[in-house]
Amino acid sequence: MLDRVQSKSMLHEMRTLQRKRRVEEVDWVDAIYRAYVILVLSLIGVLVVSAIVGDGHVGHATVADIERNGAPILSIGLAFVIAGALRSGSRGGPHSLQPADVHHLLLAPLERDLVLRGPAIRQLRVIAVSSTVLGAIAGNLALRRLPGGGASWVLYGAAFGACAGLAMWGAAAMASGHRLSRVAASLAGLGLIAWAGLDLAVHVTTAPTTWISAIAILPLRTQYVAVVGPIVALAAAIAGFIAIGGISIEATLRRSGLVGQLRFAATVQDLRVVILLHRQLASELPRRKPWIRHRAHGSLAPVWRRDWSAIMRWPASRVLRVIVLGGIAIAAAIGAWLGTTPLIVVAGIAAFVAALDVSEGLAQEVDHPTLVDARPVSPGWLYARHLAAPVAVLAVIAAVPLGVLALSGHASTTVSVAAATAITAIVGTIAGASLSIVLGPPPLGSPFLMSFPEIMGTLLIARQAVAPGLAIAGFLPIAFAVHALHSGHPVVDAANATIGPVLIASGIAIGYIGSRGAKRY
Amino acid sequence: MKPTRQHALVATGLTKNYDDVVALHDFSATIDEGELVTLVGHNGSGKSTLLGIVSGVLEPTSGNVIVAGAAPGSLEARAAVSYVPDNPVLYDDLSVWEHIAYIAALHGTVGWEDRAPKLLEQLGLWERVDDLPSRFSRGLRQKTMLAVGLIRPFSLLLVDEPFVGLDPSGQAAIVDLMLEAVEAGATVLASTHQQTLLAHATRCIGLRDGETVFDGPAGSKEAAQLLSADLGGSGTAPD
Repeated sequence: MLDRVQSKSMLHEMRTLQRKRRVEEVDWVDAIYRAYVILVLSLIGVLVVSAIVGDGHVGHATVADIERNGAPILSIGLAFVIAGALRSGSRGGPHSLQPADVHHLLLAPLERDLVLRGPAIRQLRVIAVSSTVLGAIAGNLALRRLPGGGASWVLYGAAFGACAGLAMWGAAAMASGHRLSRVAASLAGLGLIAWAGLDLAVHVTTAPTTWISAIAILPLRTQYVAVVGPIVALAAAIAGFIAIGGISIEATLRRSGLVGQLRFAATVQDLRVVILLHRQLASELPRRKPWIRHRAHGSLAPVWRRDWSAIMRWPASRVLRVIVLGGIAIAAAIGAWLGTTPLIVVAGIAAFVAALDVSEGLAQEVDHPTLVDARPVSPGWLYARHLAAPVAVLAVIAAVPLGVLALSGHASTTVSVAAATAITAIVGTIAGASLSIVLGPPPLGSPFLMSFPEIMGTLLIARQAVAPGLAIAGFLPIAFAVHALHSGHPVVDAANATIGPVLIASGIAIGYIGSRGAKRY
Repeated sequence: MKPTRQHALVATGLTKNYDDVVALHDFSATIDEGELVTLVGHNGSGKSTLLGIVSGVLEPTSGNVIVAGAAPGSLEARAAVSYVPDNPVLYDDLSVWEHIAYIAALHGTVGWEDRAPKLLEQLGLWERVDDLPSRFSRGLRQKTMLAVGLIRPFSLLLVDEPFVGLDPSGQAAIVDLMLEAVEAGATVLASTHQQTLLAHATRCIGLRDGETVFDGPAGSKEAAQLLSADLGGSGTAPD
């Protein structure tokens, strides 16, 4: 067997060779183009977020509120992120080795920490840099609306981001290194969230996540616990490194295969495969026993009944995800109605992602073209009938805020705008999500795209944007109503005027879905 | 049973569950050094699961296993066990020779440069030694994986379905290599659906739905019947 020094030198030599080979194989034009696309998309993202945040300074009361509750609220958010990291760690995260490394290196007689340290440092570097950049961007957005030195918001935002990234990685690495069970990881995560919630409720700063979050609020309020934040984050990362050799090979191997596929699917923009692999990574399986037991009889509405059978087998995590995404969409829609109109983008995207989850029945048909072919109906006929159950699910979610508004005696204008939005949002979102599922990844071999290479990029972007665009369009009644409110026009009429165009656009998409043949891979 | 130096593998009450699916149930066996043992059984019978547990890739739900006197996955076991899975796992960016060089060096193999040409020649890979296995057919990738598994020192060779995708000459070469390993004092535990290997094995273990249904001489009538039932049998779940 090799000793540590020999193993280290051996690994270094081979990784240098692999790196050299990868660099040789890089298509630099392609790499520069990708960097350019990422830069453009990042700028668009920053601009959209800037538009949502706005430039006007907030009032004294809001500043006082942020001063008092900003750190604990951020702390709860961070606790949720760390809880997710702990869950990921219990399934082998955050490590994402290639399968060959798991087989040949982790099964070789080498100290495992030695094998894992290099990839872990690279991973941590990426996480630290990206979370620092995100923190700095958030700080930059905060300085537009909040008092305090401009540079300090950016600086402390970056520091908070870096600490959050370190803590997140460290939590996941500790959980995998100590082979925390899923139950233990979930309990630890829930404990952290509860601790952060307690800090908010009783106005104390006892949770480690609050110490880290206090860094972000330093331009407004000096809290000495902020000094402890970086120490906690660093300690978490170091503890993760110390535990690194204890990982489960079974979990790492399973994860390495899935992460590789996930990267490929993301590269070819195959949203459906990304969703499926994400579910596998999260070990999200349909329930063996449905939530409500029933046995189908008769032959009426088979597609509708098949979809409900599948919905009844949703695991709790998917139920929760759909509810949370629905909640985000509703909250963003309320925010848009209260004046931050660009929030309809957030509402549309949240609803779109929820609809992708809800439209699983359709996705299953698209995934199994041979089964579709074996049925005595056209694929389009079948696909179109799969839209009914998702519409019903979203209608149930939308009925909650509508009912609350109606029962709480809100003005009839608000209720009317909400009702108009509910109709267009449900139809637009389901049409968009279904279109995305049926379209699948861009067909790179399409003769049309091949014959006009100059416009290929634009066409591909348009193709990918049209589906979420429909979902966002579903929230347009709010934007038009807000505009009418400010310009003194009839608000309800403005909202209702958008129903027709949105339904027509959605109808075209649904018509297209209904005319499809079976998808071929 | 307390392991001794003569035991390559001692398994006691090994069970592996995947959620509510029992892949292997209460498997117990002792395999001595120098044995060539074939594992037979239909798809989903638990062969790959057993090999995965012994190699340290999978963790048993319950039970114990000692490999070459150590726990699977420990440094000692990793030095002793060479595992060739049914699905070849190779680097995309290394040639056949670079794979061999890498794995041999990782295991501190002495004199691998002299053995490698003969090994690759036997497997019919010598002409492709500088090619990337990522561009190979399934059969050639399988041969590369076997070469990688055989170039390093081992006392227990675990091979999962070694003949998949191989032509008859490739199958014969692999049987010869396994017999050479046994002659050199190693133990071989191979899962197979092929008669080719059973004829040379010293022992056969039959699995069905995770349960041991046979453990005896490979040349016995029962072993042959088991293999023919396996070839004609059914099974839906993957191993």
